[in-house]
Amino acid sequence: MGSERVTLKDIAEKVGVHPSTVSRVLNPATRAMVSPEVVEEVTETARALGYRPNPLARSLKTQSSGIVGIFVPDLTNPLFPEIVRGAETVLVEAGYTPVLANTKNDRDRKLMLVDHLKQRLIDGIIVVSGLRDDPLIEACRQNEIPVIVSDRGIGAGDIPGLQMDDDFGMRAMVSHLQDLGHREIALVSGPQRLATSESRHRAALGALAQRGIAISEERIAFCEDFSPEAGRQAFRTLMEGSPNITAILTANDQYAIGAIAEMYEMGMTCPGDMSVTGYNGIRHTRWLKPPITTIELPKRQMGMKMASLMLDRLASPAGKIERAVIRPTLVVRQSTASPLRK
Amino acid sequence: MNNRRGHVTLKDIAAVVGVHTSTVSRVLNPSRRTMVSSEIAEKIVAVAEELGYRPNPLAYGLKTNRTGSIGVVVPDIANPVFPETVQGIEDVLIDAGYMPILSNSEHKAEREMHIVENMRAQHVDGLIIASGSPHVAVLMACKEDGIPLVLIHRTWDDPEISAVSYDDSLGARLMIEHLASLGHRDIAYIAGPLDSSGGRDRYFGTKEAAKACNIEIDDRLFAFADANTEEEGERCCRELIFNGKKFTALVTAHDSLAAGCVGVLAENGLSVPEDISLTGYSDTSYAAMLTPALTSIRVPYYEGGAEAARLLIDRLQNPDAPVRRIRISPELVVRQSSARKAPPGEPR
Repeated sequence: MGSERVTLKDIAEKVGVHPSTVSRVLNPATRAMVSPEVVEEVTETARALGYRPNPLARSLKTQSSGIVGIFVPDLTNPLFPEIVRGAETVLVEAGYTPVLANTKNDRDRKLMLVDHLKQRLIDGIIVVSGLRDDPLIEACRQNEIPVIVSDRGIGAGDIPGLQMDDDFGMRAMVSHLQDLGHREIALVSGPQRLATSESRHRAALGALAQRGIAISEERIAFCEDFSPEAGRQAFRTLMEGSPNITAILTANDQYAIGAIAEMYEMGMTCPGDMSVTGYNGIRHTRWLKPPITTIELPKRQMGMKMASLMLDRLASPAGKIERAVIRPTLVVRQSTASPLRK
Repeated sequence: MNNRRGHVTLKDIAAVVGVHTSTVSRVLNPSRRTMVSSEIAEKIVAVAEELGYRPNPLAYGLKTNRTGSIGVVVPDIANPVFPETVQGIEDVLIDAGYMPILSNSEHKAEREMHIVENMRAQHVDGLIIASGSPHVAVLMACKEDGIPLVLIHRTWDDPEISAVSYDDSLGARLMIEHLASLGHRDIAYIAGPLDSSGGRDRYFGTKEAAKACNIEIDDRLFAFADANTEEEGERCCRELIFNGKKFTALVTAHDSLAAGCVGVLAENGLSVPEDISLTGYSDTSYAAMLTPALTSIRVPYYEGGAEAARLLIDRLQNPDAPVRRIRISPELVVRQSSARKAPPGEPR
């Protein structure tokens, strides 16, 4: 295969110029040094011969591969693909090659991926994760790989990325429930080992307190993962401990989906017997019965913003650390209504 | 010992052991290790490990044309079948010491071409392409290069290319037979995009199965979605109801299409499954989330991905390994959205 590869020399011979002239033409940065006629002839010939630059050789010289990694913890979680697509759009447009990595939040897999991509001279990594002290961040720091993160939870404050305005989201949702007349509200939160879940939990408690709604401990349930099954279980626990609630505020659409399913199995209806709210705004929420009231994250824009922060970083590695605040939106659908007077 | 970016080099190891760099190189290349005495080889390996030496696959790749990475191209990571496929591929590749490099083509031919071009330029050892619509140019380019390639999801009639595909005709037949056994004779169908092999095979499979079951085929009972999305399911469901031809079962080519039908049916006062049996395909996370839970066709996407990775590894380890084309059978999963047709005379 190597012997069949078209080289600069082949092109040079055909055109009748020196290989270094060909090299100049084929590098956009030096093309202006060559006359337009020669540029045209060289590019034409390169195309006709089927010339492809060898980025391996080029990478070794320039220490850049044009590859940007996008690391997500779980591609099967419907939250992430939209973020990835947003980031890809911006990267592709800027001439970079996005490469995805599905880490499963597995430490060894992350380190192996970083190791491998480092050796391929990856230009930067976008980390979509809510893990506190993500080992990825340290690995990238050690290898001097620029990083953009999706939430402030990760690492210290010296990494550029996004910052989710959970306070805003939770305040909007609590106001919505209160406006409908709910006072007896339960809360379902995510695993507190994740900084993002912890911050969202704190935001919910803050929003409830601000509205003067008391919440006792038996009205709070924590889930260990992000599955509808976890939401079902949380719902059962809440029903046992505190049957008089009229609304359930959840920190994740999956919990709302599970809670509603469980509710129907127990012979109750939503929102007739109880209102339920989601968070994140995954696609399913719009199509399930009832369509779920949720806080929608601008997933595509989040991806695009992270990618443009990465482009900024690559253009000026010592530039200032930007933290873009992401504001979600309240989307009212049919899983919330005024509580029945009992 | 550390130079730029902390790489440990052969020279570093040679200096510690007190041998020439070329001796280290020989030892660290398994095919040439026997040229060096075993005591020295052992010592070199131990020192290399201690210093944290790792070969630079780029430099290594320039010489050997092997980089240990495998390109994986999917058309749409937002479609839940692909993340599952990817997990199957990744788990097998990573276990075998290969590094998957994953890219998303967004169903765009030029983007797929660009990705594959780029991956070939990055000297991936092989490619796994999962896509519904074959882009001949991409396949031809890979064949020309002799780069090991496995297709998954798409069927392509080239006996020289290894492939893993799913028997969508069988899946379609299982569903029609299930509904026929429940007494349904008036069955409407929402087809997926016909330019993808899955959409096409499910559509023709459904028609064939209907014929075999002596079920009347009426154009007014067919609608065609441009994409496997909820929005398209919604649109097609409205179209079928507008057509005015009564049906007691609604079969769709994808769970997302079925999800889009739920609201339209309810709006028209039709309840599932009492008035209409509604079915999906692919058994995605929707199936269990919808009320009532959706009867669907389970396709083992994870296993398919794993199988594709194994085919590729076979080929990498033995270039003379025969081309293999594997077809995986799906299964019917019956849930609450399909039921016996209401007896005649009862209100619809």
